[in-house]
Parts: sequence; C-alpha cells; structure tokens
Amino acid sequence: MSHPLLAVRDLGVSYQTPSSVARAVDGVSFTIDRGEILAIVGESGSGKTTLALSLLGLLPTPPAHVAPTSRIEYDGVNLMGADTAAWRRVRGREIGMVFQDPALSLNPVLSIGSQVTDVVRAHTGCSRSEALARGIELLGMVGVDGPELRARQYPHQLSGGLRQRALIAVALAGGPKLLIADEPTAALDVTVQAQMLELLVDLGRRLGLAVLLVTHDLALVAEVAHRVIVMYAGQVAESAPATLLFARSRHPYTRGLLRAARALDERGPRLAAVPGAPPPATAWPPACRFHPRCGHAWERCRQEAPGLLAAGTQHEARCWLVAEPEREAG
Amino acid sequence: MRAPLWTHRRVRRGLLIIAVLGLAAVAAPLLAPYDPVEQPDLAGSQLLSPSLAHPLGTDLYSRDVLSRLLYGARVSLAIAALATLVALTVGTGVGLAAGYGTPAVDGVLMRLVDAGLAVPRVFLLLLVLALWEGASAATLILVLGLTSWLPTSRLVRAEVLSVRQRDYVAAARALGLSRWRILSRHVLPNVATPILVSGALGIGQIILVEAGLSFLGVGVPPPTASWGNMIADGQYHLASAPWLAAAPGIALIVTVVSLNLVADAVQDALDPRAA
Repeated sequence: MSHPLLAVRDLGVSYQTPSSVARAVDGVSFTIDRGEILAIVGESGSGKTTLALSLLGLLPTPPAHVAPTSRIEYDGVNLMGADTAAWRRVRGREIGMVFQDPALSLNPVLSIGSQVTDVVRAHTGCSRSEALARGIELLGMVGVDGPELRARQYPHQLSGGLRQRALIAVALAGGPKLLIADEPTAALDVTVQAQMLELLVDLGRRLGLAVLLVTHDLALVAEVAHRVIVMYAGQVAESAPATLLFARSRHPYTRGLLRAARALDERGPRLAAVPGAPPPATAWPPACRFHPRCGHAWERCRQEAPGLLAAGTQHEARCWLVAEPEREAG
Repeated sequence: MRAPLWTHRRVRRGLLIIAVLGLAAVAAPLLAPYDPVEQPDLAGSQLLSPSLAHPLGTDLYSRDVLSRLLYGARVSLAIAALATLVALTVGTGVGLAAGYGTPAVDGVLMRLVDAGLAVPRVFLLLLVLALWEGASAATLILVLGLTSWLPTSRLVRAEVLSVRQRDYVAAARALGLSRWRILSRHVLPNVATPILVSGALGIGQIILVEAGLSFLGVGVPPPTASWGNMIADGQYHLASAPWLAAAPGIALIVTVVSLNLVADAVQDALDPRAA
C-alpha cells in the first residue's frame, strides 16, 4: 500500500496534424490515492480530455503520439507500452470511466439493464441472472428509483439526470477502484449537476472509490474535491489541496478563474474574465505559456519558462511569482 | 421493451400481402387446379382466354396459367429469398470487417467491392451461368447471392464507420468490453435497420434479376415455371394472348412493391425514438 493507486509521471501527448505538431499534454505528473477525489480543471483545449483518455490507453494512435518517457503506473505497475490485453484488464475492472454526454454514451438500441449487465458479465463471468441482479443493485445504488423497471427501459425513455446515473452504474459495473468522470455534469442543468456531484462524493465514500473529476468548472469542484490540479496550455499550472487553492492560489491564471467564478455570485458591473484567449496547442507561447494573458508578466516570464515551484506543503505553481513574491505588490 | 415489428400497422399491411403470396406459393399443390408442367391436349386447348375452367387462360402448350403462376411463385420467391440471405450474410460480414477493421483491411475489401461493382451484374451472371453446365436452383441462388452483396457491404461499412465513432462505443471500450462483444452488441444492432431495409429491397431486386435471367433463357430452365420464363414465353403472344405475360408480370409488380413498402415501414418502425 506504499504506492499510490494511480501515478502519472511526465505524461506527454502530441497530435500530428498535416502541417504541425500539437502538444496537447506536456509533462503532466500527478498521483491519486485510494478514495481520493482529484479534480483536474482547465478550459477547452487545455488537454484535459486527452489526459483522461490516455489514462485508459484509448487515444487513437496515430494521430496521437504518447511520449516514450511517459509513465502511467496503476497500483505500482507501469501501463505505458502495455499490450491490448493488459489494458483491457484495467479498463472497467480497475478504472471506470463516465463520459461527457449521457445521451450519446448509452447505446440507443439496448435496454439500460443489458448495458449494465454486459459490463458485469465481461468482468466477472457470472451467469445472466446473477449479472442482472447485480445490475439492478448497481442502478439502485446510484439513486435510480424503481431499478427493476428502469433496467427494462431504453435510454430515450429516461431523463438526462437518470441517464447520467445509469451511465455511472455502467461505469461501476466492473467494480473499479478509480472512476474517471470527464465533464460529468456538462450536459445537465444546474440542480441536477449538484445532485450528480453529491452522488460521486457519496460513492467515493461508500465504496472507497477514487474519483478523477475532469471539468472546466472550478466553482463546481470547490465543495467536493480533495485536491485540485489546474491545467493551462497542456501543463499543470497549479496543484494544491482544494481548501488551499481557493484560499491562497498562487498562479495568476487560477486567480483569474476564481475571480470569474465569484463574479457570478456578486453581480458586479462587469463579468471578470481572464483576458485574451487560450493559445492553440500547435503554437504555445515561448517561455511561460501564460505570459501573454498575465497582468503580472515581466521580463523573466518572456525569457524563461518557470517549472512547478513549491509554494507550500503539497502546493505547487508554475509561476515566477512564487520565486519572486515581492513582484506581486506591483 | 420495444414492441415487436408486426404491431406496426404499415409493416403488418405489407407483410400481409407478402404472407398471402408466400402461402399461395407454399400451398401451390393444393391450390393449383391443374398440373403446371403436363401438356394435356395440344390440339384443343391452346392459348385459351380466361374462363371459369382456366381463370388465367392457358399457354401455347395448353397448360393452365394460374397453376403455373402458383408454382412459379414457389420458384421465384424461394430463389430470391435464399439468394438475399446469402447476399446479406456476405455483405454484412464484409461490411463489418471493412468498417471495424484496420484501414488496410478496409482498403483491400473496398477496392475489391469497387472492382466487383464495375462489372455489369447481368453480364457477370450471364457469363457465370453460361459457363456453369446445367445450372440448378442451388447454383442460381448462389450465383445471384454472391453477385448481390456488394452494395450491402458498402452500406454496412458506411454505417459501421459512423457508429464506431459514437460515444457509446468509446464507452464500451473504456469499460473493457472485447472487440467481439462491442461488434455484436453495440455495432451490429445499430446497423441492423439498414441491413433489413436493404434486404427487403434486395429481394425485390433479385426477383427481377432472376426473372430477367429466365427471360434470357439462362435462369430457371423449362418446363419448370418461374415468373421470368413465363413472361419470356408470353412475349410471342402479347397481341393474341396478353394474359400470358400479364399474369406473372402483375404478380411480380405486386410482390416487389409490397416488399418495398415493408422495407420503408421497417425503417420507420425500427427507429427507437419513434413511438
């Protein structure tokens, strides 16, 4: 039990496009412990979905290319370069995944029950009736009421929230220890979003399940995540325990996101936003990738790329301000 | 649960006509008033116009046209149905392999299909049947089936290419389902509708092609009746005895039209979003 459940070390993923190379994920490292809820936050194009897919070996190669030095260690075993059979032992059984849009991620011509049951049977080899019983139990566990009836229904007969619950049940059917949820709430309305996060936290607690929550919504993860990683331009911009990140973020980008989220509550005269637009992955800005959008940027930021600098216990930020805090006053 | 297909009214109507035709074909020995092949009295009863004794008249060899029509239905429908089954099986297999396999497999299979489609089908059929000594019904089924799967394979491949991109296929992969399971549980059911529709349309097509071949004299050999060779025989007497070609011709049209109706209705009925 000395090693973490999942350790990602120096993960690099690039996409070969006809004219150039897009470095979607660049030197990302993090770990998830058993039962931990880790949130990865970033805007569109920051590499978070690529990251999530690469953890299951699901990136299409080509066009994607994973850097040979990358390591993905599940329970101490490196999966990088593993064959399809090894990946399949991990998919579903060790790591479950909930996709973004429940309307598209359920097969329209199969009943909910058989979709859960299929995954149960793929991983346990139990009989059809045992698998169905387990499937109905899972549907009940994720808060689908009348699971026996719902198991016989088809995806189009369910509401968005119910579909998302069913999708989580399918993801749990292999009995995974880690659940990756890629924007699990993006397609839902706000009240259902809160319920869904509650469910994930509750499942994490009850099943000892580690959850990797991939989202663009920083405010949403505030209450549920133990730790937060903010991604910018394919890199980790800041990584900290959730409470610390919200109280004392060190990266100007994180602060910009927080301001934007708070501005919604305070009804200011103008919506606070991070100025500028995220850069394209084919042409990251030189040196610090955030400097063109940063209000604090000075000469050093344009010349030299900052590493992840320790800003406290378990708190790291990729910003020269951590090294030269006196600059912040101005 | 989804309602069974036959509860849809339009499917039921089309199927009803087909069932009547099929039953008539199966029960031909019971329904037919005369022997379809025997030539009873060459002198007295040639080319009789429709009457109570012969509801559809008689042909040049004094055979009852109604009896020949019923026995012909057996031959034409059975050959078409079995050939379509062969075509759908091969076409679906090739389409799935091309659509879900590696780009190399896809490339090779689809170029072969292109090459096959470049050859005119009737020409190919004539060639094969002319070279194949003594074509039996089985060879005819095989030859018709094996020359008809090309469009189906393309259709299936195109559907598979679109289905394999769907999130639920990605999700199934992410949850560790095997390739076979994904193919059989997630891909195949989602391409079943176009397969069924192309099958229903294909039967009509093959009935017509078989009729054409028999018309040209390389299909079902006389004296066995098929709708095709009946029309062929009738062409010489269009002016004096139009019923000879009209009876099998109308039967052909009714069958093909109702099959198309069923195909159309099946397409709507299998859409899970329609109630």
